Amino acid sequence: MPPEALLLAAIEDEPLAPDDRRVLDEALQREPGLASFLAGARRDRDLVRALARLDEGRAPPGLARAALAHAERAAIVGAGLPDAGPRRLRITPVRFVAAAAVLLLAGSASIVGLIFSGPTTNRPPGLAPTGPAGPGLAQAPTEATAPPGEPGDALALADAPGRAEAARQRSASVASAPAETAQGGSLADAEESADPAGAGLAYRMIRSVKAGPDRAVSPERAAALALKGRLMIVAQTTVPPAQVEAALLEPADAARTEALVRWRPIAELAPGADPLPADGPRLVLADAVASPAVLEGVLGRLRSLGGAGAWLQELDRPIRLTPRADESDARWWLRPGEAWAPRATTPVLIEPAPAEAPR
Amino acid sequence: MTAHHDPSRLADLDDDALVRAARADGEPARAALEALLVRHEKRVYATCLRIVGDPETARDLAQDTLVRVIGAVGAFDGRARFTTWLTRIAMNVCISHLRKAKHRRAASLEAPVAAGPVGRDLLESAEPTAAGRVELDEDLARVARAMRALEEPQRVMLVLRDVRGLDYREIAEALHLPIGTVKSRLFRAREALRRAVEADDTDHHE
Repeated sequence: MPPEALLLAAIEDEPLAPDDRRVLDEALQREPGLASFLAGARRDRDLVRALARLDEGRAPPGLARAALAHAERAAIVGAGLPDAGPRRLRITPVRFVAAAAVLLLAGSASIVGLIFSGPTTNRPPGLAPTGPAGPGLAQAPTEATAPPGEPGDALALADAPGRAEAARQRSASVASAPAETAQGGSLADAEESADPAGAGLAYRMIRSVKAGPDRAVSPERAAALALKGRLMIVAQTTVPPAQVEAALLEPADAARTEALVRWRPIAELAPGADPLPADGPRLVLADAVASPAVLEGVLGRLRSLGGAGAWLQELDRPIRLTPRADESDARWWLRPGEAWAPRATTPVLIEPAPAEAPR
Repeated sequence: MTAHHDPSRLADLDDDALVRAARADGEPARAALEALLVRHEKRVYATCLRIVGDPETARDLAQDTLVRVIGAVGAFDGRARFTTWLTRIAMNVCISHLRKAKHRRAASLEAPVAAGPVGRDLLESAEPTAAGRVELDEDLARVARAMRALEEPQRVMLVLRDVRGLDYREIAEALHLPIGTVKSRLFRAREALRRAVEADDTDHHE
């Protein structure tokens, strides 16, 4: 049997090279049924082509004009509105479901944006808060707010790597909610998130916090406090705190906790500030989903690394930090449901355990 | 007045020129778009009919195809021929329809295959006698039924090649397949059609 390509060429009446012609002739002599097959296939081909021309002759008139009229009506009344005219298009279930899915997605994004419009939500970067974050919490623009006139939607960010990179670099700084500093000043005065002075104030506030298990709170209360910037996590370790810090900041740790917790060095807040002594307590930042389960998970991780106790501690005064934004925030709706909860940046103090550390 | 602005001369323009004219604004663009669609509407309908088999459904799908073309012509980049691009849209519309509505398959191909005065001259082998016309009509009906009996991918191959008249390269572009794969699948589709015609012939005589 000659190769398929040769037989196809014979059916399609394509010119054959002399060698191919010879191969085909030999096959026709050797296989009596081949000639019948080729003749039949050519006849079938001609009949299908004839059918096509017959079909064209029977085509209903005015298809193109009807399509144009439909498109023009849609443009005038808005796509998606039912057309009372004699349109031939069917609203099939799949079309209906697809349209519903788009509307649902858009609606969900709006609702989630409204619900999580506080300054420490995991809304897509670039989306401005839509209202006060809560009683007593004045809402100020965050650094992630899109410039006026520039669409701040998540998809735009996803499509603009440069903007995403800029947002990521900027968002490590402190948000501008009013808060008293340890020195009695207001963060709102100094807060321009790219302003190292404001970031330095937050840094000094965190460093001034005194850890004490007497201020420990339940994970449920801690989740609420985290959204108000009034939560700190304290871990006491039997190993050098720097070792725990290094483990937390490993990229692999971020992968382990997926999108629920991301660890950042405190130095991101104030790169020029006086550094912490290497052999003393360490401070890191946790961008964590503000849910009791996730906070318990953070405690478990700290205990496993430090070998001692860890607790969630209430702060007297809020230290409001903005979670770092990255490209994955622009696709937040692809995350698991639990990751849709708002995220909060919480300072984490890692200190050597005393003789008897609470567990 | 250029051909782009003279409705009476639009028919002289090739597809690419009409596409360019249709992508402008204003009434001349609309006229160009209409001329472009009118030029291809019958072939689009024939394509849809041979894929789905039902004239009524084919009319719906042909119009759906044309509406999509209207919406997307601004994005047509000209890398493929317009007919290839149009065929790809029509195939997508038809295959999508088939896959979501298999149960609605109609078996109405037998009625419209009588050649009539249009079909008698279509085949070089058509004979001018009454007996020859009857035989041709029977052959057309038989091959139409055989087409319906094919699996969807095989039917698509034959439609692209014989109904749309695309060459191997254009079929490859339309289906995003290598040319070698196109040839292989087309040959197997022709084999399958041959078997289906022979089976129909056998059934018809039993």
